[in-house]
Amino acid sequence: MDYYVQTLVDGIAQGSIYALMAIGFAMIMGILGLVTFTHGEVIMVGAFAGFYALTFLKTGIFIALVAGFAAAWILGLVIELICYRRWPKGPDETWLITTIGVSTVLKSGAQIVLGTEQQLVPDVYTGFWTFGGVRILHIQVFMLAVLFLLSAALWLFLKKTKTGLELKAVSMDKTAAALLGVDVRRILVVGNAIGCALCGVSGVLLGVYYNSVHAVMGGSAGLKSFASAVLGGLTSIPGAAIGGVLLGIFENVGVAIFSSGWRDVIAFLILIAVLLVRPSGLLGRKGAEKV
Amino acid sequence: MNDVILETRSLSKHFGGLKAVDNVDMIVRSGAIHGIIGPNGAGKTTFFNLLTGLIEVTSGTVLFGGNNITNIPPERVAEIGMSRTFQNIKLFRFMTVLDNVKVGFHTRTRTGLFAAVARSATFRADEDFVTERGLELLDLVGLRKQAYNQAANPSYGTQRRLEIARALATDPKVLLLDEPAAGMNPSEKSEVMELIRKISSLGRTIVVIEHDMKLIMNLCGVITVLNQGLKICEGTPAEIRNNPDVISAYLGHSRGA
Repeated sequence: MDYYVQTLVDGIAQGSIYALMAIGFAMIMGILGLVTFTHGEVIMVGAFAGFYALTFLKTGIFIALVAGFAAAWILGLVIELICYRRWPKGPDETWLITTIGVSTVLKSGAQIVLGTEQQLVPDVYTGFWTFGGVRILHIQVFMLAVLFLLSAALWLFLKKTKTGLELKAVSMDKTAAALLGVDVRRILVVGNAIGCALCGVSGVLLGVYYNSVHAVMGGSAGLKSFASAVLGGLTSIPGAAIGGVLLGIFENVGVAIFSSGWRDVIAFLILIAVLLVRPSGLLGRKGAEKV
Repeated sequence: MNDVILETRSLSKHFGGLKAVDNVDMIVRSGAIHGIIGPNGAGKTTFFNLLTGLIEVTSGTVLFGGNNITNIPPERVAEIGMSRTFQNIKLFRFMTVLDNVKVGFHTRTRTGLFAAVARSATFRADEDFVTERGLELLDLVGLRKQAYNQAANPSYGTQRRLEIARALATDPKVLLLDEPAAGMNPSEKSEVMELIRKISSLGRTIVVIEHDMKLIMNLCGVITVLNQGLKICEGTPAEIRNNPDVISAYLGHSRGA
């Protein structure tokens, strides 16, 4: 019994990281109206920013999170400049291709500049609580708290501010929003930056939780965030959060039943199963326009 | 005669060899309810898209209040005082009815993120203003009771009226309505007709595309008829009704004529 509760706890903790990156991903996809491929690399850059803050600047975890947030935000601005702004008139697929290009440059550039070895991230919050046979790490609770805090902040932002309302409007209909005087370009910049920044934070957590960062970590991280977002309904933000947590649980249950080699297999099998039953995802909007 | 508020001079849009809009000259006078009719594919919606900068003009000019606004960026259309609805409804479907209207107010309120976080006095005043005016607009179109419902849920007629309310939120001088009564039953149609009259009486100029002849003939002082991209005639409802070109555009040429 304890074993399964433990699995659930670990799953939720890991899922909270996925949830954070999926929220960022869902946000960006909602605003752009298409899938992007720079996502994993944004997570990687955030993770490295956090890693450098922790190891070389010897800051605490909070500053490391802020560093990841800021680095990813800035990277988001750069990505917008290179991938989107330069090609406003082309077909939608143009943006898809430019993000593949930038993702490749970032991944290869990171291997040259940051090296190809895994870097060891120092421990943060090594303590834990024990309840019977179940162990809950302080870092796990911390990660969940970060997820809740950032989700609440995002929710408030979307609900209460003018920019938040404009973001929602642009994600639902760019033409109508533009004709009502919404500066679509600006909203795209802001929305993309926020989405990237959330991914940056998730990258820092990923590095801290697994005690490692490396230049090619973006590949699998990007895939997991995509899977979580799809599970939740692609552009639904609460859906992405739930999808992320569920994916974390699925993975850990898969590992508990089979072996760690099956981690990704189980996760993606379940993803396929969910999509067979509910193609629009858990909280997907049926009939929503996907540009 | 009233001043000219909206004017096109030899306005054309060609898609390759297809002349969707071809050399159209049109004058809309301030305060008018100006109708545009024509068979399917006549270029009516393309004409609206040209006016609002959604597609690029091939040649010709668009003047608004005497200023050249040809190829205006869509983001600036609201600012200069023009607003529109869409033939295929383009609501923000996953927002409330009231929030849809609120988006339209944004050209007029100016509080930023920091003011919102700090919940400053201007921010709250703006919020109250926007909510209050939004509800007033919903009152005008008869949707106040549904203010907090999802925009995607209401009936077709309701969605069309919501689009009109949203377009009015930008306080336009000229309101472009693209088939506001499409898909409605007769009683809804007469409601929309009343609504358009009411909006007009509040001092706004209206240009309306519609297929329903009864609605157009009853509502409009001037009607422009387009066929295959060309303006074939313009005039009062009575003139249009008896114009041989219009009759042949709608009913076809008689043999040997």
